[in-house]
Amino acid sequence: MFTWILRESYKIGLSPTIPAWAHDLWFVIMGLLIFAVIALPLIIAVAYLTLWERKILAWAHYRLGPNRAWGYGFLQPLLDAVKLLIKEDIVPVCVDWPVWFLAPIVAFTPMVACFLAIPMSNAFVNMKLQLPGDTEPVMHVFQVPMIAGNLNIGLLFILALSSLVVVGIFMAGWGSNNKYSLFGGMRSAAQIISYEVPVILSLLCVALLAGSLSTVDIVKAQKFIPPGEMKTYLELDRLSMSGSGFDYTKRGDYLNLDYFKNLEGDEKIIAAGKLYHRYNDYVNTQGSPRLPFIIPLFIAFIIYFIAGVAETNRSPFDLPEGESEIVAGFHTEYSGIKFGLFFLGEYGNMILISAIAVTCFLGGYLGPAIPGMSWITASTGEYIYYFFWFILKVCLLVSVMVWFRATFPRLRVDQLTDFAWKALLPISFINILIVGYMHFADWNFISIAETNWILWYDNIVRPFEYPFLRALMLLFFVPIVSDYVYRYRKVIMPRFIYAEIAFILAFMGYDIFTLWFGSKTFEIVLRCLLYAVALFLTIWMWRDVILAMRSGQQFPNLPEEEAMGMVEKVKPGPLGVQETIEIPTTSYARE
Amino acid sequence: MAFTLTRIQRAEADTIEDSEEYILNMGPQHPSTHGVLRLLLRCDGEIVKEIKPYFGYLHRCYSKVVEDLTYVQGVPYSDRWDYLASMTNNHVNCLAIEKLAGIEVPRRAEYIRVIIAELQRIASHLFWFGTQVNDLGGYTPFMWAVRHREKIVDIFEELSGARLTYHYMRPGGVMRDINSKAGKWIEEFIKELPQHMRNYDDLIMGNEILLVRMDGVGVLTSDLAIKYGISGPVLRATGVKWDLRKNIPYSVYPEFDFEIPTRQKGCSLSRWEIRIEEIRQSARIVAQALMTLPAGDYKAKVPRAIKPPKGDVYAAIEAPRGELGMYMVSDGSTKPWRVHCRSSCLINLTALNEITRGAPIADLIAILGSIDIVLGETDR
Amino acid sequence: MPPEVKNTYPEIESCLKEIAESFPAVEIDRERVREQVAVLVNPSDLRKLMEKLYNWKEYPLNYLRCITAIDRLTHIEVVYVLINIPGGGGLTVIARCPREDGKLPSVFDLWHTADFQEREVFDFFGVQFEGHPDLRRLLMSEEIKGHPLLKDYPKGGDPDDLVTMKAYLPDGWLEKMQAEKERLKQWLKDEVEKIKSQGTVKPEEKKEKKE
Repeated sequence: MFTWILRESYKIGLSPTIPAWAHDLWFVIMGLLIFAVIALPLIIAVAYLTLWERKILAWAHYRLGPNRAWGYGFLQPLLDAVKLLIKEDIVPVCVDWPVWFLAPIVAFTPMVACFLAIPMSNAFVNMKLQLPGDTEPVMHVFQVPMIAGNLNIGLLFILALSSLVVVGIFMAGWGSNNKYSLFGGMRSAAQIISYEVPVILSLLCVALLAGSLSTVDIVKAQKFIPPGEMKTYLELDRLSMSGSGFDYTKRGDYLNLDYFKNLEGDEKIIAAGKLYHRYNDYVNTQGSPRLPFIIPLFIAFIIYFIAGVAETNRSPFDLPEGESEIVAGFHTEYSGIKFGLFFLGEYGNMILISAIAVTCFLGGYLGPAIPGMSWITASTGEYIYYFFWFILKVCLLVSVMVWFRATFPRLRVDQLTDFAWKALLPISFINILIVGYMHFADWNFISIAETNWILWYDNIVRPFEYPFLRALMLLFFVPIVSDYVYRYRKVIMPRFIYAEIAFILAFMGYDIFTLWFGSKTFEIVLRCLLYAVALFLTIWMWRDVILAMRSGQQFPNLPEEEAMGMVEKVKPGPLGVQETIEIPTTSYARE
Repeated sequence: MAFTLTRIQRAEADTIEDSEEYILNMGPQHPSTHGVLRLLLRCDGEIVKEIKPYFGYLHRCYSKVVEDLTYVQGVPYSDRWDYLASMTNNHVNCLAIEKLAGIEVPRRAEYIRVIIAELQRIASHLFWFGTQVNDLGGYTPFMWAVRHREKIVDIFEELSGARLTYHYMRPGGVMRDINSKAGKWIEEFIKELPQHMRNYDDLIMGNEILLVRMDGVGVLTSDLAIKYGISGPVLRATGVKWDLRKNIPYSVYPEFDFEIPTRQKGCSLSRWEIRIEEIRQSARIVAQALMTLPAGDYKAKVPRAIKPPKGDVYAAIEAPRGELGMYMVSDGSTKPWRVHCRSSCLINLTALNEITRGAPIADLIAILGSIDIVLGETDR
Repeated sequence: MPPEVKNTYPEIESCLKEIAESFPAVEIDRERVREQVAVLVNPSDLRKLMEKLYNWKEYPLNYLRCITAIDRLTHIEVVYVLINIPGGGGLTVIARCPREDGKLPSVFDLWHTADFQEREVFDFFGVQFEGHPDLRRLLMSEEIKGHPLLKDYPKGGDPDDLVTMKAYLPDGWLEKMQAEKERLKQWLKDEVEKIKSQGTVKPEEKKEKKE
C-alpha cells in the first residue's frame, strides 16, 4: 500500500509529459500535504500534551488529574479547545493593534515550521520502476525519510526559526499596553536570547560529530552498523540517494532541483558529480562514533536540555509568565483562542525541544533491531517501528520536562541570566574544546599519546589562542568586578586598551618571527611562554582587585565621588551594610 | 551590572545607567499578596526603590461592631482576624476577658487550650509553607502541605464543628471536651509528623534554587526589628530570643519543655528555618500535653452575661504570626467600652519598606511570603 | 494554676519615683490596667516622658507593643504599652488629649512601630500626631471626613461620609442614619454634662441600647 502510494506519486513526478505548470502545482500540493500531515497531528499532540502534563502534575501532588471527560480525561483537551474558542475576545483599549494581534501568530508559527526539518522515521524502499533511461523495469532503491524536506542545513533552519518565537513574545509584551506584560516580555526576551548561545554551542558539537547539518544525516550518523556490513550499507545508501542510472537532468526527481537543465556538457557533469558526492560523502574524514550522541556528548546533552527548557519558558525558568509575580506576564491581555495560541505554542515548543534533543542526541527514530529485522534495510514494517521509537523517546523527554515543572521552584531573572552566561556558557566552550580534540583524535581515548601533537596544536589550539585569552579576561573577571570597573572606569579602560594593544603586537610580532624561522617545536614552546606572560599581565592588572576581594574590604571611593558627597556612610557589619547593635542580656531574661 | 551593587547602594543610587523610575501597582487583586493588599512600588527597572502599602480592603470595623455586643457574643468575631489560625485568635480574646473579669480557668481546660493552640500553630505554619513555595513556583510542596494540614482541620472539625473559624475557646475554658476520637487522631498526627517533615526537608532544604532565592534576601537586623516592633518568627530570625510563651508566659506554658529557635542572619531563609523548627517544637508540646492531660472540668462556671469590674487589660499571646494582642476596656456593664486588636501582621509590615528597598521585584514576593501576613488580621 | 504574672520589674519603683519628681502633672494609677502600672500624662509632658523611658539606663523600654485610643466622651486617651526586650517588664503610658483637634507629639523616631499605629489612631479618633512623617488614614478611605470610632459616629455609617453610590444604599438608610447622628450628638452632650456635674459616670447610664 505504502509502496504503491510512493510509486504512483513518483511516477507522476517523473513523467515528462506533464506541462510545466502542472509540475509546479504538484510540488505545491505535495508540500501542502506534507505540511498538513505534520501540522495537524502536531496540534493534536500538543493538545494531548496538556492533558498528560496535568496528569503527571496531579500524580506528583498525590491527586488525580482530569478524569471526568471520557474515562481518564481523554476528551479534556477537546473541551478545553472548545472552551477557548467560544470565549469572548477581549481587546483592551490603547493596544498597539497590529503588533498585539500578530504576536500569537508570530510566536506559534515558527514552532510548527521547525517540525518540517525533523525526521520521524526512515525506510529504504525497493520499487520495480522503469525510470527514463531504463530499457526495462528495474528494482530501484529509494530512501524515504519521514520529513517534509531533507534540507542539507536542517539544523540551522530549526535554530533560526526557533529564534523567531522571542519576537512574538516581545511583541505581545509591548503591544499589550500593560506594565506587567512589558515586564514579562522583556524578561522573556532576555532569557531566551541568553539561552540561545548554549543551545547553539551544544548543537555545534553534534554537527561536528555528524559531519553535516542535515537532520537525516545526523540521525543516520548515530546508527550502529555492525562492522562487516558497513560497505553494504554505504553502497545501499549511495544507490538509494541517486538511484542506479538516475539522470539528474530529468525533471521529476522529487529530491532535486532541476537547475541542471540549463547546464551543458562539462559543467553538467561537474555539477552532477558535486551533487553525487554531496549525497555520497556520507562518512566524514574522522568517522562518527556510530552511537547515539548522548554517549560521547552527554555534557552537551545536559546543557542543551537545560537551555532548551529555558527557551520554552518552562519551569524552573518560567519567570516571564510567573503566575505569582507578574500575573501571567506577557500573555495577560490575551483571551480566547489568542491565549490558546500562546499556550499551544509553549507546549509545541516543548515537543520541539524534545524532538531536536531526540534527533541530535538520542538517535532520532532509531531503535534496537529485533530478531528478524534486517540491520541495514527497512521496509514498511520497520518504518512504523522506527516511528514508534521516535514517539516514545519524545514522550520520555517531554515527561522529564513536566517532571521539572512539578519539582522545581522558579529562578529569579538575574539568577537565570547568571546561570546562562556564567555557568552554561563556559562549560559549553570547554566542552567544544574537548569534543573537538577527541573527534580529531578519532575518539581514541587510549592512544592519545600517539596523536600528532603538532597537527593537533596547529588545527585546534592556534585559532583559539588570542580569543581564548581575551575571553579569559572578559568572562572571568569583568562580571565579578563590574562594579569595580564601573567605579574605576576612567582608570581601567586605558589599561585595558594598553593590554589589548600589547597582546596584538605580541602575537603579530611572534607570527612574523616564526614565519621567518619556521621551527615548529620551538614555536610551540615559545607560544606557551607567551600565554604565561599574557596571563601574568592579566593577573597583574587585576591584582589589587583580587587582594581587595580576599581581604573583604569595600571598594574605595573615587575622589570625584567624595567631592560630590556620594560616600558610603555605613560601615559593613556582620550582616552586611546595616549596622548591628548587641542587645545586653540582663538577668531578667527568662530563658 | 546593577545586581552587583549592594542592596542599599541600589536603593540609594539616583539612577542606574540612565534609566527612569516608574510606579507599579501591585493591586488588591494579585495572586501573591496573600489577600487584598495593595502595594505601590516605585521601581527603577526591576529594582524596587520604595514601597507604599495601602490597607483597608478587608476592614470590617471589628472594634465598632463589638462595642455593641456582650463579651461572649464578641468572641466569634475574633475568629475572623487571622482566619488561618483561628484558635489562637479566640485564645487571646478569652484571655483578655478572663483577665478583666477575674475568671479562673480549670487546669484541664488550660491543657486542652495549649494542645489546640499548638496544633493550630502547626497548621498555620504548614499553610504558610505551602503558599510560600507556591509563590516561588513549586506547586508540589503546596499540595502536600495542604493535604497534611487537612488532618489537623479534621481534628478541629471533630472538636468544634467548623473547618476554618472555630469559635472553640470560650471565656472560662473550651467549648467541648476532647473525646477519644479526636485524641486518637491527634496522637496519630503527631506520630506521623516527623516522617512528613523529613520529606519536606528532602524536597526543600536541599534544593539549590530555593536556597538561592531565599538566602540573604530581605535581611533585617535586630535593632531595626525591635524599633519596628516586629514580633514572632521574623524577630527571632534576627537573633532576638523573644517568645511570649517563655518571656511573658500565659496559660500553662511554663510546665512544658520546649525550645525557642533563633537564627542570627535575619534573612528569608532564617525565617523559613525557624518556622519549620517551630512545627517540630509544637509537636513536642502537644505530645507532652497529651501525655499529662489532667482530669477535671473543661470549662469554668461563667455567668451568661459577664460584667467585669471597670478597668483595662492588655493581653497578648504568641500567635503563629507574631504577638497578637488585645486591649480591652470595661466600664462595668455587660458590653465592652473599647476593644482593640494589636495585629501582628500589620506591625510586621511596618518593616517591609526597609527590608525590600533595593531588591528586585521577584525578591519582594519571597520577602512578603516569608513575613507571613494574613489580611484579615491586618485590616481587622 | 498558672503563675501570677505581674508585668513589673525591680527598677520600676525608682523609675516611677523619678517620673513623679520630674513631671509633677503626671498621675500614677496602679489599679486601672490589670497587671500593669499606668502613667497618666498630659500632651505637653508626653514627649519628654517617652524619651526618658526610652533612654532609661538600667531598663530601657525599647519595645512599643501597642498604641490604642479610648474615647472617654470628654477627652480621648491614647494608650502606649511599653516593655523592655529581653526583660519583659514594662509600663503603660496613657496620654489625655482633647476630643476636638487633639494634638500629640509623635514617637515615631523612638519606636518606628508608631508609623502605622498612630495613623490608625488618627484615622479612627482624629488625634493628630506632630512629627509623624506621613500622617494619613490607614484603614478608612482617604476621602471621608469623620472619625469612625468616636462615640457619636453612627454605627451604620455617617451619611456625610458616603463613598459608595447612593443607588446601592438600602431604602430609607440616609434618613435613618441622619436621625441616628442627631440622636448621638444629643446623647453625647447629655453624657458630657452628666460627667461634668457628677464627676463620675454611673455604669448603668453609660451606654444606651442602640438598635
